[in-house]
Amino acid sequence: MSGSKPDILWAPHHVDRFVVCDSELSLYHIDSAVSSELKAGSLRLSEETTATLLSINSDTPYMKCVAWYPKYDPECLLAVGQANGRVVLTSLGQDHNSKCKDLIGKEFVPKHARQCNTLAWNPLDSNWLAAGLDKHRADFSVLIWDISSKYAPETAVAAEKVRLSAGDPEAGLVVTKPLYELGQNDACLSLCWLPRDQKLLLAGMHRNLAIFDLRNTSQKIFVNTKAVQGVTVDPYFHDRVASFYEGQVAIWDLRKFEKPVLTLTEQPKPLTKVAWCPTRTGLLATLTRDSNIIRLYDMQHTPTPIGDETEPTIIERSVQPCENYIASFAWHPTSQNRMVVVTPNRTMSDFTVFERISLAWSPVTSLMWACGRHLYECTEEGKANSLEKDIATKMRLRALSRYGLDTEQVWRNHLLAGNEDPQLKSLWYTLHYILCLTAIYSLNFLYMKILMKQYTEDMDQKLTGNKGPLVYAGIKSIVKSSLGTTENLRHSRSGSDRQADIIQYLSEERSLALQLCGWIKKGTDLDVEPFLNSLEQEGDWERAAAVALFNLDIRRAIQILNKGASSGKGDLNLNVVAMALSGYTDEKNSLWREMCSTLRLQLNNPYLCAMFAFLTSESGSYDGVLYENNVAVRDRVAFACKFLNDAQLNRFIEKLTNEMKDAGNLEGILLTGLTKDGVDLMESYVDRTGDVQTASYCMLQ
Amino acid sequence: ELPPSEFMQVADSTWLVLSVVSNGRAPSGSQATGVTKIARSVIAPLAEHHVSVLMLSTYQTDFILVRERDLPVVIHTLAGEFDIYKEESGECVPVTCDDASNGFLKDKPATSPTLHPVQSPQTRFCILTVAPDTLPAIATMLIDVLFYSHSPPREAGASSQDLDSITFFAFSLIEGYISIVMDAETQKRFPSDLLLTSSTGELWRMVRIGGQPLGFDECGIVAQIAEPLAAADISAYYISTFNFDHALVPEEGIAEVIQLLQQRQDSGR
Repeated sequence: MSGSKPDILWAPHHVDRFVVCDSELSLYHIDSAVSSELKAGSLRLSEETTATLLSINSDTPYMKCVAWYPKYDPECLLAVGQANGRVVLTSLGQDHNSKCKDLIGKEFVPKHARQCNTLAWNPLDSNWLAAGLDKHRADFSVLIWDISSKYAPETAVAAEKVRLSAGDPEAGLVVTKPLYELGQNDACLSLCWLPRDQKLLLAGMHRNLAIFDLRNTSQKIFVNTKAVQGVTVDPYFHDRVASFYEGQVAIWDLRKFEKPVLTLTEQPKPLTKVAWCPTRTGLLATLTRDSNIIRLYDMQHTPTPIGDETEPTIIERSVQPCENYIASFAWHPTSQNRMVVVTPNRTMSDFTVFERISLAWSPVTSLMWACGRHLYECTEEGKANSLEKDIATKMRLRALSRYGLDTEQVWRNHLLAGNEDPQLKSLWYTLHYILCLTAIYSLNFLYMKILMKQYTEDMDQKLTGNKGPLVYAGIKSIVKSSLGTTENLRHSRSGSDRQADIIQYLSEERSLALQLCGWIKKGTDLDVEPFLNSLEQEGDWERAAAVALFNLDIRRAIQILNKGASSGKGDLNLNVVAMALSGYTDEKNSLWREMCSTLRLQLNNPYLCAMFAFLTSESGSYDGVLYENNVAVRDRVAFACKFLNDAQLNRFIEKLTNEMKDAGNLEGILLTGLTKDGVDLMESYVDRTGDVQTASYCMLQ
Repeated sequence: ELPPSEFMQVADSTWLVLSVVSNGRAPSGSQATGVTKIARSVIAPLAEHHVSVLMLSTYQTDFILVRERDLPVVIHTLAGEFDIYKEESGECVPVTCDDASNGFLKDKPATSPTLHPVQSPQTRFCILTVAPDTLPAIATMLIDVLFYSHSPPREAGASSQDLDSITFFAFSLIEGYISIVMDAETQKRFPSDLLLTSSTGELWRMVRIGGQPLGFDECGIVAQIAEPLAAADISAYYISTFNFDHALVPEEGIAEVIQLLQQRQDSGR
């Protein structure tokens, strides 16, 4: 600290006090001030804090260095090293009853007067004060004083005591004999007690850094170096020491003391102060002369160097606390990253170094960000609307519920997916049926082959082809292959009063298609009853009634509707619909027909619409049913298989398939099967929804 | 480089500076410092090898000057007892001593060294330092003392051997450290709190060696003073100047010193 530049020291035990030293000691008290008005005598340090001057001590005009008493003391006891080498204990308080009263005014005088460069109070034993002096040919430069010594001076020295205290009648004891004397014939520029042991002192002598062990003063460990100024120990890593010379800072590891671990980039101007941050690990602040920036070196994230060549990485930052040149700065002992800087004309400002922020995204939609010691987690708020949920979230939830992994009962997978997407339901049921039927047909074919083995090979050719692969190919191919083998049946609706002719088409392929649609179980039995029962159990009354109707059983339909109306969750309106149904008449020009054909469009439920469309439409043209988009595709296809002739059927299937493919509607798997067309369908589905999960599981089957 | 001038005499050779740096070993029992401390280990051997030395003691440390051309002899002589380092751009580089002894002067036949007369004025001196940043405060005073002080006029015919006072003032600025030797009367002219000295305020008495200008080639001058002092364990400051050599001993010890030197002189005659 040169004569004119002020220096700042924080009180070690008073969190809000600091002292500014140049030619006098001024004690300030720091306050947080929210209001913009300043109390009288306050200085504004920053937007939130002000400082009030508490007291001034001008007893020691030749001060060169200052050290604060390490124990808690309300009086702010300080040791001041002067230009003539004397160390004086002085205080900034006015309380005359303090415990340390007898310490105040004590002087420690070296044998030969020369400048005192540095002072260090032992943090563990507060009686020991180390002073580092300039060199003298006959004297030691590192003196350790015991401040509690009431050592009576020898008689030989008594004469000088009179001489010395003549001018200072109130002076307390003058101590001339230090506890230890170290470091002969070399100036001491900086001192630091090592925290790991009470008796280890690190001194920056003129040409080397020396560690003095007070238990054995004849020994010392030293390393020749130029970087001897400003030694400080990292408060978090007690083996890490920083020192500087001119513009270069060297970082040492005391365990391997031969050469510095790291030297920081050299500054063009000499440094004035180097200080470790006491509140954050691995942060070193340096100040160069005549500069208004403080450089911060972050050593927290340095990886251990591999081998001898790589240097640890240091992150360097500069901060500018104020516009003017900075004379000195001091870290706040407890508040994180906070420091107070003072300019040569004694303006001070309070400054907090803002930490770098790091962000991390989680794989799910939440965000974490960290700044210094704060950690914030942000998660998405809002109702989980399954339709609006991101497909990635949906896929993750489905994967968690083991979606796609049920390969036995494949249809269960749609339940695992939450049973919310009708397209998925259709897809998995289709796959299920395909697999079931394939199994059956393969088994049959194999069985037949085994049976026919004894016959000749030409008989094999007469066997009907294995229907197994055909099943994979979807209804489209099934239907194509059935050209020309349709049987026409004239059928009448059961339960009606009159005979009416509805053309139904039957063939093996069509019944296979119906099996795929799920209307009938395997076998040639055309009984829809089990399907109807299952629909009733699910509570899908309208669909059950429609299917029953499409199987030409009006009574059954009415029965279902009545059941539905009377069931727990049923809609009472179903009774009305049943009533309307029961009025069915075959006459083309009846009022019933007219009314139903127009009013059916006002019905909400698509199946009811379809029902009335079926009843009121001309035979052969069932567009009202076929193009009712909200009716499930499989029902429409099954209907088409029953009531459309070959040409119409083909056209319809073709059109529907293309529609499905364009829309990426998974219900179309039924039509396309697991063929190349099916792949195209999947592709447009994935394009639309991004649901690669379903596509992959499906293709695995 | 100072321009040559008829008012200035310059010695002919270049001199190199040596200083003894303590290596931290426990101090020997002797309390003496300065030239006395190194009398046996440095001064005497160098004198035996016919190396002419100059000494300069300052407040901070002691320097020994040897001629540049004598350096190999010096290293050869001292290498046995000391580790020798050369300072190159701030770093200390060890100097190895090879065993070559080319160019060493042959040992001259042992001549008895000339005993030089000594004088001891009554003036009391003090050895001081000044903090470098307070130098401007005393600068005018210093210049006044250095250049404008008037020595008392010599009385015609008085024997120069009986001078009661010798004006002596030494100011050195070495590596930023200042060292001043001045007599006690002059010290009073300076502000007292700016001059830093020993806390005991000890004063020194001077012994001036040589009746006439000593020259630079003779060796053994320092040795003949240092040896008796070392035997008596008295610390001394030794400052060699262009004409004479000056040894400063503590005030209390001056009587003993004079007695020792007198004995030596008597025994030498």
